[in-house]
Amino acid sequence: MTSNDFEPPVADDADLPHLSDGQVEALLRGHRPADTAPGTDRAADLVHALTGPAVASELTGYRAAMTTYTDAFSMRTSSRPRRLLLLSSLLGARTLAGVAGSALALGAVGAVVLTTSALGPSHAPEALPLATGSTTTTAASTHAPDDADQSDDADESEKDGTGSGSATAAVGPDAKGPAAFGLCNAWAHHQAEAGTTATADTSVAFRNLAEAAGGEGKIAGYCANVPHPGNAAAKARGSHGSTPGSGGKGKSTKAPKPAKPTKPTKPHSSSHSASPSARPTARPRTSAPTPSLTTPSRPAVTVTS
Amino acid sequence: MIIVRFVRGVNRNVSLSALPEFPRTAEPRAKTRPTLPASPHTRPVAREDFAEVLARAQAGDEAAFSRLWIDLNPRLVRYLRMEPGRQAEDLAAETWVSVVKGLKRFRGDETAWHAWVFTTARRRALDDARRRARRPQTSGPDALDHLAARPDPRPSDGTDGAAEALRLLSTLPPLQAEVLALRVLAELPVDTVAAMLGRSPGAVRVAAHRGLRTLAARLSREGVTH
Repeated sequence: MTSNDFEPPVADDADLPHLSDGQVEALLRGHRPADTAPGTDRAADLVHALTGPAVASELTGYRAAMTTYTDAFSMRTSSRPRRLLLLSSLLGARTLAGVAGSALALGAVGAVVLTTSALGPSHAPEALPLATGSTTTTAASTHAPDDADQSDDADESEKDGTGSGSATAAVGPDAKGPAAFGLCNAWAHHQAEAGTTATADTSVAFRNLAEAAGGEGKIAGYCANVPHPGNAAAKARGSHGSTPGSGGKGKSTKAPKPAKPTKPTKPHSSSHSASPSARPTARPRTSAPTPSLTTPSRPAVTVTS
Repeated sequence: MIIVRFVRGVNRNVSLSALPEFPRTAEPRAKTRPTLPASPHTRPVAREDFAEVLARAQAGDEAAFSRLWIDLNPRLVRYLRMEPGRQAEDLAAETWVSVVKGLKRFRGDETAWHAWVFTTARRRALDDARRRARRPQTSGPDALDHLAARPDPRPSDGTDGAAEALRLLSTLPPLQAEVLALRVLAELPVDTVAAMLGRSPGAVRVAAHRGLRTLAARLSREGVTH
């Protein structure tokens, strides 16, 4: 603080009262050390006076200091909101842009879903075969234990002529087995309605039936002895020529089936019956477009899920 | 004798509870600036909860800064008044301007706070000494008028014990006077004072020792003479 460190000689150490280091520290803290020289107590009072109450002249700068402080901190607090405003505006713009982008994306997806649902009928064939396949598969599975289904498939492939060559040439319905009753039924219908258009030359099933009967001319006689599938005794016996059928309630209802004009669905049903794994995938796809057609708000649910 | 008469009756152990109570939580900024509390004392009122008061002041709490200012400014002014011809109040105001500018960046305890404020004041005083040294030396009646118009920063009318103590303190060699002032007014330890003055701790201890012994000798003689 001083410009020069020149210290003029004040007095010799011999002239000064003796003070220990502890006494000096006590004096600097404003305490009165005990057993000291006469002037030491007054030095303690002097140190005490240095830290005495403030006078008015020492507080004159209070208002100026507070003005400086408030100006400095109000400027900081006023500049901070500006930065915050700028930051918040930037963040708001980014957020708004993000929300807008998300909304556009959702809208686009929703529009796609809506368009898909609106075009449902035209796109339905992609899903409907699965649905019909599933239903027919379910029906086939319920009827699977009965070999009459095989006769049905044989009938369909026989009627439309789209059956695979290997299947028709090699197998065909077994006219001596459980399919005999159905074959006979079909033969009887053909005989009554269309005459003899379906012969052994054109139909593998009829050829099998003729072979089982021992000739085309003996089909009527053979079929007269074919037992009804519902007859358990005839089933247990395993032969179809011994006892005539007594029932006819089960397979009689299936007799008109070969005449049903549902040719396009049958190949699907047969194919899907061979692959049961198609059922879980078919169920949601057939059910999903349906609510979107009725409730347009569903696409959003579909997207979010 | 005079000093003895003045310093008697000064109660150093002033209770902190007698000082104005400051809100512990930051309140909304008042429209009007806080008024100066009555009867401020030079005792460090912020000692017990200095960290909290400082944090509030750094956050913009005027009451907290007011407490810091009232705590330290009287000591600061007394420190600056030790040298004659110095505008202690103006230098103190400049010091607080610098302190306010760097207040948010300050980190430390109360001792570090005192050291920072007094170091700033010491630099302002050195700058003022350089300015006064560069000022052209005036002579003649104008210079005398200027000196006559300047108030004496150390009133010795016998009513201010601190002023009389400063007067006696300023009679010591500059190093001893400054060491004693920094150790008593700023309550700084030896090492801090040594760092501030660029001296060794031993030199600071010796200066304080000799200064107190000198004062005791002088006061003893004054008491005898008076």
